Amino acid sequence: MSFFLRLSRTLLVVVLSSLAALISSCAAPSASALEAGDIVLQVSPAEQEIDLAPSQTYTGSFTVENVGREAFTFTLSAHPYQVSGPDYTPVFTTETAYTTLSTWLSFDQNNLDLAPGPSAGVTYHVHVPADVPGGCQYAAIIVETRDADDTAAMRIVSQIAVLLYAHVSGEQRLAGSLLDQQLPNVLLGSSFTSVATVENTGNLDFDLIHTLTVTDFFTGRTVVNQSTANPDGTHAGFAEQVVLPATTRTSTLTWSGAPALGLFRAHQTLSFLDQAYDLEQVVFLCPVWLVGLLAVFVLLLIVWLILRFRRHCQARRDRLA
Amino acid sequence: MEHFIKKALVATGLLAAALVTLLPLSSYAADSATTTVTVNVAKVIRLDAASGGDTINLVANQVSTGNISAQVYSTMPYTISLSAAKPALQHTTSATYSIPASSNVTPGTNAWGIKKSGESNYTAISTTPIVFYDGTAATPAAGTTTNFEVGISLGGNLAAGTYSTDVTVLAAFSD
Repeated sequence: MSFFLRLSRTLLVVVLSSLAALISSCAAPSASALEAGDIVLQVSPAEQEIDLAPSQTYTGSFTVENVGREAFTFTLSAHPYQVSGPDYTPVFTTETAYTTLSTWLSFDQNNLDLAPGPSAGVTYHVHVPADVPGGCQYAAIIVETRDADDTAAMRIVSQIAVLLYAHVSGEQRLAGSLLDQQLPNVLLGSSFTSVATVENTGNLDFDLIHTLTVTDFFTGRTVVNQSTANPDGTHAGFAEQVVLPATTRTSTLTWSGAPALGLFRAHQTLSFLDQAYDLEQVVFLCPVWLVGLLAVFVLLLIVWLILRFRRHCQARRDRLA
Repeated sequence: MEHFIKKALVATGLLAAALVTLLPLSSYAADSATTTVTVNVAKVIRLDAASGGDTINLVANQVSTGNISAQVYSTMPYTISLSAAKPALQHTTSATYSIPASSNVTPGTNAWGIKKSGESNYTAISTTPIVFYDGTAATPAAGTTTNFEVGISLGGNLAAGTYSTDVTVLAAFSD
């Protein structure tokens, strides 16, 4: 009996051990890529305006927060910042006379570990050369985390740019000109858009304020003003945009809630530096299919009138005959 | 003939009148009285980028797809730019084999690309950040997720195994 008891106990241990091994091998974590919410990087303020002077050392700061589930290490690097084209596509690699700021930057620490929850204050220093000319300078401090899973095929590197807009004292020139402004005249189903293009010919950036006011032609009721918002959250009647030196900027205001048919009076204003411009236009909105129907109607009317006239002439000839 | 034309004329006129009545002619009116409120908006931007999965299993003679998602919370209009220090998908153990970044991702070619938000064609990623999404407004507090489809096609002469690269997702305020 004791033999069978020992045998049973031994078999039980063997079975339990095997079961435990099986469970542990199934539960062994398999490598998996990071999921949304794992590495979440937050920076504030992500845009700063600073005033500099030659030979000055300026110290600034911003905050980096880990709002994800996983700890990460972030690194800091300085890059030039410029824009390209009238749509102001950001460029972080082009070096110009206005992007040398990136070479003046240094950091107390170039990398920091950050656990989920707390935030880290980042200090940067700008060492302004003595011989720098006055005007604007632009740079981006890139905050980067590379804590991607090495086993994933598509590893993600997350970056946030802190944009620096610096005004260096010295010879500063504010200059700009309006290149073009447009309001629609007749809209056959296309969007109600006002456009203005401004050029900065100085060495300092300036703000362009672009407004659009639309009133009903017959009633005078205002349907769009500076506080009007489109369904997507954009402003239909107001835009304030910066124009960087040696660039051309196109500002566009779109009224996406315009009706399909109507007659309106549109008034556009532009102001930058000490210049102000006004443009007013009567705008007729009509769907293209209605124009087609009206064209068919007019054509039929003409044909009918011609046929009627010919019948009338024929009847007269018959009477005279 | 004249009678027919007359009927057609009346029908066209009635049709135009009926369709005009169905048009949405009303538009929202701006407030007649406005109050100016000044609000200081904190300049905050948050990025949560993920590749959405371990690997993309490649199948011959078709474009295999994956996804890169970027959830951004931003208090100002922003852009999302993508780049890669090494744009080609590289075999993990052999430097000989790679899949180049290309906008021509079609079955029969070794290529991979990423679609910009709202576009149907692929864009070749490069070492320079390229704007793949341009947001014209700030996001709601929960953030906005933008998905970028990754497409990979096979043309042959590639060794079996895993091909990988690092894709950099850069979020920044737009001017």
